[in-house]
Amino acid sequence: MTAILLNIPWAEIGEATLDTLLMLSLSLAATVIIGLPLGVMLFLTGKRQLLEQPIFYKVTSFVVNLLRSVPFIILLIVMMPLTEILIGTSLGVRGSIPPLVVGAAPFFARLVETALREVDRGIIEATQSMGATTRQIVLGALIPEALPGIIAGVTVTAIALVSYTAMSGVVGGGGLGDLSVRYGYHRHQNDVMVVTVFLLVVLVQLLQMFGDRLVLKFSRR
Amino acid sequence: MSSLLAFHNVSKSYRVNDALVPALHDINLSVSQGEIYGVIGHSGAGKSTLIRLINLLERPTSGSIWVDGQNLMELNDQALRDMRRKIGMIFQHFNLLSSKTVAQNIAFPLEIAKCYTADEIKRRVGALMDRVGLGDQAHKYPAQLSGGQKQRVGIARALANEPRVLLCDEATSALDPQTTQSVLRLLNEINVDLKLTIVLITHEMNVIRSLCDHVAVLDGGRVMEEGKVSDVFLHPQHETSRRFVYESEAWDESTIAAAFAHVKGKLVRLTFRGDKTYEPVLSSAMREHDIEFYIVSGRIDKIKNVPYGQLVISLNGKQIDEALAYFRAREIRVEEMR
Ligand SMILES: Nc1ncnc2c1ncn2[C@@H]1O[C@H](COP(=O)(O)OP(=O)(O)O)[C@@H](O)[C@H]1O
Ligand SMILES: [Mg+2]
Repeated sequence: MTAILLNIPWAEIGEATLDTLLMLSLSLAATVIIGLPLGVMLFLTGKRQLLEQPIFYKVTSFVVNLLRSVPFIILLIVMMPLTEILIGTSLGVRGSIPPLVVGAAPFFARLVETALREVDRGIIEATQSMGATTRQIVLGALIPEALPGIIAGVTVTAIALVSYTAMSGVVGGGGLGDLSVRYGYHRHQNDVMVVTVFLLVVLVQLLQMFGDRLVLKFSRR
Repeated sequence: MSSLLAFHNVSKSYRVNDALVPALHDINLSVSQGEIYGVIGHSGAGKSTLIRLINLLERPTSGSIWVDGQNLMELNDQALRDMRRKIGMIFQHFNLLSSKTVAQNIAFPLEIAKCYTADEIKRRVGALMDRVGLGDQAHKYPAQLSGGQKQRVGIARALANEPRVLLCDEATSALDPQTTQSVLRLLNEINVDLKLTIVLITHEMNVIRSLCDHVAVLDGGRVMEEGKVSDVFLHPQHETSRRFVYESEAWDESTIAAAFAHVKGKLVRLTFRGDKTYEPVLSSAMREHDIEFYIVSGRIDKIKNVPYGQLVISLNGKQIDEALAYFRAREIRVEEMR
């Protein structure tokens, strides 16, 4: 037992774990910053909504669907040149952020749109009848009312990002996914693969638990 | 009395799949400052559409709507928002924000108005909560309140910006009868204390009877009858109004007509209003004239705290005409039925 554990490159695993957490938190933050307004715009410009804009909605919706239907691994490769232009490298933790965000933001925007649609129309009307601007309706009523749904969306997105980071590692991003492939697949060191997969499973469980708690905390129904 | 709110030839059609579906036809209404104005109609009559036109939650297809001397059709976005602050609204399903506490819900319109300091908001919210009898519920969430309490929060919220008019969209339809009564009492108090004009829509004649000064009867998107509640309630002119009145009285005119068939003598309906209701007019008429009577049917109740009585009596004797003249001289309305 100790022999097996000694064989495992713990220092590398620690570093890979940090890389994964870094990729996850940076890309999640960027995804929320971009995806939340995008989701709000999708909602507001939708049919029979406050800023109904059929053409804008259809175009945006199409682009969102397009990005969501491209397999992440393809997106990763296709984005490499663009990533280089954007931040100077397509390697490492930094290089993996743009494809992660482009992959996750449209997904998250849809979840936000759905969460906002769940808000009772009556709430919007009541707020309108108080003389609120669209901005006040969104910030004061819609987002607070949809917050549990939005947080659930962040949780789902974070978990999707964990599996994306595993893939992006393969094209030079580092992290647990990369480590697992390098040791487990290329060197047949299954013990390393087991440990890394175990760490990923724990990460996903923790994210889900934390997300569920937050949802519960903000649910007042 | 001056008119606070008026509809001029207002029509409204909804666009459904490229077809225009009419909901309101050529509505003309006028609501006076300080009164409670009721609109009654069955489901689908266009009541919600009508009340939602008053703060332009729906826009009319044609015609104009005036509130406080301003034509709503001519307001730009900012002016419309300012106008909406002067028009409070409460809803059948309350529409409270579930994510905010009672106090936060009531503070919300004040925050939107952006013309109060935090201290002022706190003070106003406290006063509003006391006004609606929720002083001790400040930190509860709507999910923790009963239906009646939720509607009280809705009322406090609607009053927050000191509106010129309060719109009530079936405000008691989701409440049980007792709670309905207490919410109606609160609305009446507010009307009296603040001299606040109220427009309410309902499908229950009892709400109209216990609260309203004027009523419009809506059917198929048209105003069938309009007038003082006492007139419409005691002498409904239109079929729809009659049905509402008789429904609320659990009174079926056709069976009563049949019941009268074998009644001898002259049938008349007498309507007493106000203090006359409690005067011994019938017995004094009998003393002074050679008549006998008996009561075939009747109802005695109050319309917004004013008592009324409506009796169908059978008259026999030699001085029937004199007796009828005697009633008329005492401002009792006499309708000869047979
Ligand atoms: N948003 C809408 N779109 C299309 N038709 C509507 C809409 N709202 C109401 N209507 C129609 O207008 C008519 C009047 O509806 P409404 O004003 O809600 O009546 P009420 O409140 O008296 O039940 C109904 O026939 C209803 O189907
Ligand atoms: Mg309705």
